Amino acid sequence: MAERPLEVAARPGRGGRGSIARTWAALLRRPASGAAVGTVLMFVLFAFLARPHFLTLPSMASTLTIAAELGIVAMGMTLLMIGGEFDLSVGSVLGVSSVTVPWLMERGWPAAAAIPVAFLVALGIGLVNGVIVNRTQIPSFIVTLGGLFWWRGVLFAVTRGFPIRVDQGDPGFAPFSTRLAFGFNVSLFWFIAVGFALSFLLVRTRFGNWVFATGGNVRTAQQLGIPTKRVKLVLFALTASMAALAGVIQVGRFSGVDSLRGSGLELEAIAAAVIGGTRLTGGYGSVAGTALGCLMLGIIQNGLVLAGIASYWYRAFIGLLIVAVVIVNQRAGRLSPPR
Amino acid sequence: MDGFLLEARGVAKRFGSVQALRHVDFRVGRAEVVGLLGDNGAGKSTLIKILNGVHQPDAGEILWEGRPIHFRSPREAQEHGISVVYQDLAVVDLMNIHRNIFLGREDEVCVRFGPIRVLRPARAKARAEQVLREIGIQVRDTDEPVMNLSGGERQSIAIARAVHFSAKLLIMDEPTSQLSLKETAKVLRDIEEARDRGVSVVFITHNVRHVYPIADRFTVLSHGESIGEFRRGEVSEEEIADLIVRGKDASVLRRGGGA
Amino acid sequence: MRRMLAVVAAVGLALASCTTGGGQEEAAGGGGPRYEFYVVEHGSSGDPYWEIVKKGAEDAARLYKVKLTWLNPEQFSIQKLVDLMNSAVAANPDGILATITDPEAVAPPLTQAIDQGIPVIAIDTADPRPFPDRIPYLFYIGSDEYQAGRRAAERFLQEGPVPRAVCAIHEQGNIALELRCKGFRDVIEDNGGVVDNLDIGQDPSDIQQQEQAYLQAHPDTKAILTLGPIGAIPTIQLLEQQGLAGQLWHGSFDLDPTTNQSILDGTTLFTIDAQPYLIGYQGVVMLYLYNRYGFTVGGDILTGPAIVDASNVEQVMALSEQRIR
Repeated sequence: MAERPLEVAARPGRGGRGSIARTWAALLRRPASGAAVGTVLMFVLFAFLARPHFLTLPSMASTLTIAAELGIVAMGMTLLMIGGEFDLSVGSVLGVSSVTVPWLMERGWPAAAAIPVAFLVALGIGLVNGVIVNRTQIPSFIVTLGGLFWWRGVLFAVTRGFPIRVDQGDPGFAPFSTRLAFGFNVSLFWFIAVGFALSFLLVRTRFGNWVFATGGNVRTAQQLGIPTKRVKLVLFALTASMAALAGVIQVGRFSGVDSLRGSGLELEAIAAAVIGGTRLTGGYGSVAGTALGCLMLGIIQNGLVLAGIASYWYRAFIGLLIVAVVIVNQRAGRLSPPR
Repeated sequence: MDGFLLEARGVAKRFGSVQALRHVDFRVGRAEVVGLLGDNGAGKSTLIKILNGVHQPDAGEILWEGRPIHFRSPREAQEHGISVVYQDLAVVDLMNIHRNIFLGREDEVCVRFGPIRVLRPARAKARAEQVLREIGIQVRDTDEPVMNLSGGERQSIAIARAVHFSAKLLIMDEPTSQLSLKETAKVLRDIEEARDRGVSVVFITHNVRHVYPIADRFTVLSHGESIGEFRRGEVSEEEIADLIVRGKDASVLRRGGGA
Repeated sequence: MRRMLAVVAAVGLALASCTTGGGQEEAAGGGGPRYEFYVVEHGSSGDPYWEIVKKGAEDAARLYKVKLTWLNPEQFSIQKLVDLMNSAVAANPDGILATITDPEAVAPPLTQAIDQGIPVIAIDTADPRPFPDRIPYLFYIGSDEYQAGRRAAERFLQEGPVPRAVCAIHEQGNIALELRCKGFRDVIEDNGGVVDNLDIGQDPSDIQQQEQAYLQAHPDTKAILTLGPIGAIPTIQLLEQQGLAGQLWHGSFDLDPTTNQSILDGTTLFTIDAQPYLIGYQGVVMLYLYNRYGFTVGGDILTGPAIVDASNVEQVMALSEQRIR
């Protein structure tokens, strides 16, 4: 009884702050907000732990190079996950699509002709993934788990376990793998461009609307006449193509493809998406969140090295981060969908 | 017999060894609310799926605006103006209100650039608010995700969507079965509003109490047959309830008030 | 949100205390400058060979009061290796020890390090390219595979003439193994013998069958060289089962308990050790001396091949338990 009036009395005074609090709360509810806060925290943490090296251009270059290649794949995966599916084969697809470049160049093709073939290979694999998932109704988790092993096996067969080399100087690689001043790479621009393009596609196009609907509730989407199978097909093809783009960038950067290229990438990409606020169950997430997730992973990987901490702590750190982020997202309560 | 909007005559459908529909006559007039009643397994869903183009009938014919018609898909039925709202599938929870309203029919709020249709969120928002206001639904903010709305509000949004896209026939599957009394009343008001705008509504339920206050006509299904069609006032709520439970043995049929 | 802050803060504090705190304490203890070296290598975490290299490096780092940061991908990955090198270069340390696992891929970060004035020494795996193409690191510390093959042949020939010998390859196409066989063959053939390379694969029973078939077809075979425990263990079993120990000479590469015991039993004549401990130890010492006094050496430092046979196997076995050999 005695407490009630206090509550009431407190209310008028909080009027002005209330709306700010509401705006703040609304901001926090957006998928990328947890990742944004986390990125800033990580940045500050490592700027302190790894001083003075962390806040230098070569360090930023190293961070962004890690984030860019992972990000291109993870942002593609984000759209697929929002659409309610997974692709565990991205790492193997990255390897097997990009190996076509050195394979064809060994047979006299110029890079500029071989690179489009790599994209076609990835596109084909993505479509196959999509068709199998659509036709059989087997969860994409299983279908692409099969793809992970199958395409890795194919890559071993093609390379016989050894790296296939290319001439780094071929001008065909210039748009993908040019090394800039201070160790920055041209892949950074691809990361930014792909980020904006995919974000636009997701939030501002009819297709993006259908992606959210397909992942949010596939039966409702079908009921409203949305071609959910076609949406998924496009998403699988898109995800695989993004893997090919990252793969081509790496062919130029490492002047060849080895049989283990891209292995383990699928889990890092999913981790980045989850850290960025994308739901494992579909229907919710953002490209910006994933980009920040990748940036966070880059900061941690680079920051640990600069702080002189043995590299095996990287995995442990990611594990902590994933669980922490999911707890925060869960506690943050109501989710905010795309506007 | 002035022109019925929809008329199904002698419709039958068998799935393997199960005779889901034996012989169903069903009619919906223009701008009227029809209660489609029956116990679980009476054949209500099968009938709806035939009217909606999901299934094809084995026998019988369907007239749409007086002309025989054959819907091969829900999309086709939708193009003719038939819109179905399922109980759990009315809306996508994680999407906001205006995205839900234009979901699957984004053309009105899109600009085309070659193969890409770009959404215009501001326009979608404005149009959505207008659509909702037109049939008297109030929401705080159409940016709000649908998951924050009550069950009744979700049904209302589905109704608003159907009305806006000029559905001629709105089929609602158990729209009020999980709602509170207050919410039910609101959904019923929205249905009346839709009818006043010339939309016919089929209201499917196993509980006559949900639909009695609002329906102009009732059809009762039992074991795959239509066993009674009444106008409101011809029979009481209790008599229809009795018919649903007891089927052909019910007193209302012996009294001779049926079709 | 508050919970996440707490987690991050806790982890941050833990990390801060184990880096900066520990560092100051040791720096205060030592007299000279405290250098900071990075090791970036390709071996997967938990690889026993690299654990020994690391032990050597850590032992030297403790003696010379050097701060050592050890970096390797959890699983073999050229991409991760290069990313780690990029970060290591950004840390601007006083020296880097690096494996030249893929010369073209690791060239950009290592060349940048060298341009920045960071001394770089190659360990374990050298850049095989000749002078103008070779990454301009100071020198290489590690074993020489071709020389190792030659040493194996010479050790057999010490026992007597070898008219026919087998080089048993368990990883087809592995260049290091091919080089060992090439060195082996060159010496045997110069001494009037014949060497066949045998692709034995990795399955123990297959290995035994292949070797048995070869021995039946060529009864004049005097020596068999296996290139690691994978080939050695089934071969030792075969020799013991068939009672061939002592008649058919067996030599191998690398140390493991079965091979060591077989040397002790007299079934295996010798094994060749790259002495990984020495790679890590020497690497740290050489970087220290370069920083402190500007010392360098006139060529690569070969830590192997070293022969382990009946004369020293007991000492080696004792050191194996301490992860030194």
